[in-house]
Amino acid sequence: MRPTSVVWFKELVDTLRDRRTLWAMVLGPVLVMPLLILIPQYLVRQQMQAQETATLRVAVTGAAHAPGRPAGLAVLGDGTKLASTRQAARLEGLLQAYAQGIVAQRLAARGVDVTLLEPFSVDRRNLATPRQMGGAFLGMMLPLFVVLWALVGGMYTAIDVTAGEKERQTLDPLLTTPASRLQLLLGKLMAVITTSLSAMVLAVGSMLVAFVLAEPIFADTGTEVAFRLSPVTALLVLVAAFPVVLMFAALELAVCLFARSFKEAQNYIVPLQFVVLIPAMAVIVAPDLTPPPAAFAAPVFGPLAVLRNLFLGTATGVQFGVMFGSSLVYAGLSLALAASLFRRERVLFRT
Amino acid sequence: MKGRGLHDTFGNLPMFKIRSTVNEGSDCELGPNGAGKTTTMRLLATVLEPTDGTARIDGHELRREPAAVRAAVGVLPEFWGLYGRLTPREHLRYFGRLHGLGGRALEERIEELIVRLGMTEYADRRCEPFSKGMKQKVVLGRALIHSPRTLLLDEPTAGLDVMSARRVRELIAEFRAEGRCVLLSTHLLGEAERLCDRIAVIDRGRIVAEGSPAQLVEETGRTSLEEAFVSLVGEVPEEAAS
Repeated sequence: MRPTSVVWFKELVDTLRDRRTLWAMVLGPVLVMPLLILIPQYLVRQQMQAQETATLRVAVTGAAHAPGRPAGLAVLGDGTKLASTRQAARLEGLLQAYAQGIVAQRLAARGVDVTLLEPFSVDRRNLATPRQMGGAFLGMMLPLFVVLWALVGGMYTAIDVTAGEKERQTLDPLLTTPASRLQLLLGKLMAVITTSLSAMVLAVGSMLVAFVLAEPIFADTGTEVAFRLSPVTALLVLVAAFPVVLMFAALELAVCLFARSFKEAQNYIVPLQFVVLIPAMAVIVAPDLTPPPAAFAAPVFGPLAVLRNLFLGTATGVQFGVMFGSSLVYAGLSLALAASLFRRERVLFRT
Repeated sequence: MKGRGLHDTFGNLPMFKIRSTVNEGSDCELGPNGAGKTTTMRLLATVLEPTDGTARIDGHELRREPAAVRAAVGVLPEFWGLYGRLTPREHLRYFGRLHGLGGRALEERIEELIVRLGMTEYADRRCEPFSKGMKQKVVLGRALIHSPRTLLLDEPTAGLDVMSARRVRELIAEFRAEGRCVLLSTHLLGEAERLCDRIAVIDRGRIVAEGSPAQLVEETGRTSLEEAFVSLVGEVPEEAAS
């Protein structure tokens, strides 16, 4: 076996025996992510159903002023409480319906056709199919998690194969083998990429399953959605994510090489999450944003935007090509940085 | 193993130069804490890159053929770091593969070392809870897995109990008898005297004296190796001792 493969295989075995990494890579994505989707949706549905069927208790003041002249009714609610806002809206609806009934009676009593009050009716229809609605929802949620897991999924492995080697004092023996520093680094990089990709696939896959299970809950709240991902789209998502995984893996290795211990490496690497969260917010809060082709070359933002468009079914070849090519360049630069640092004694043997 | 003007610089201060030749048998670096013994070992093992000078090990030049040098030496470092989640057998397999061994030949070599070093009882247990003596055997096995002709042993008995240290000394004697070149670093005079054909006394990065134990005693005009060492090294400055 070539040294790179030897190191890759050993680091994977070591990783799979580490409970911390197993939690971050497998249990976390598979258990926590679906619960993050299903539980809130379930609670929202339960709450809405309870509020719609519950008997409204209304306190009335000033009843002596009714009926006769148009009476001004004030519906008072507490804006800080969602239940109060919903109940107030429900009461408003009931009062509107009651008022229309009274108008119809009065007009009928005067021999006036009530339809004169309605020159035309408006019927709002959603042209988007349930599948498209599902795609829009996925496009808003999943890109963030794809990129976030690309970063977080391999984090513990990156720390363990760099700062962990220093802390365990296993770096010197490793450097006394005939393998070159680049071969050793590439083996560690492959291990980080493997854990990142695995965590990402598990996280996104389990989220998709959760979304499918949540379809009836969505329907009960008034939104018809179908969460379906075609094999081609799934493959394109993986291809789009790969250079991001590679870039983050190399960056994490480069950052962790400076650390002298596991804890120090964690302090260096956690802020990297903001590199993902900030551009992700731009994609989430502006779903209709259509950036120019050059914007897809921006690191992190480009992949997020392409992933969103893939879920929406609107990604173009130009967007994908610009994003993929630029991401490969960033990945190459990150790898060059990590390789350079791995040769420097002041970094490796920092005290 | 030949060192010629091997030189490393810490900051702007040249710390030491080594000019020495080690043939088959065991030679010893003897020096106080901070003298540069471990740094010398790390330079020879190509973990550190010298700023000047060179060395030749098993016919391979240190700066031009570092991979070949690493293939020719077995290193027992100062700190016995192990992968806690791997077993001794897995350690030996990992480093054996990194040295280009594989298949049945590697497995047989691993088994041979496990028996020779007395690790049979725990060869397939994870290393994390191992005692010092147990770890030291794994580390020694790691250094020997590729049957190197040259061994660099940095304080091999440090922290070991009497029996374990005795076993290590027996192994070093066996290595000598097998015709290997052993460079041993220690600050234990008794060990140096017992194990080594020649001793290089290092102080503040420089070899201050070199020769057999008897030669050192004679050249310094002292009556014991300890007194010879003290006269060569003198008072140890605080910064070197740290």
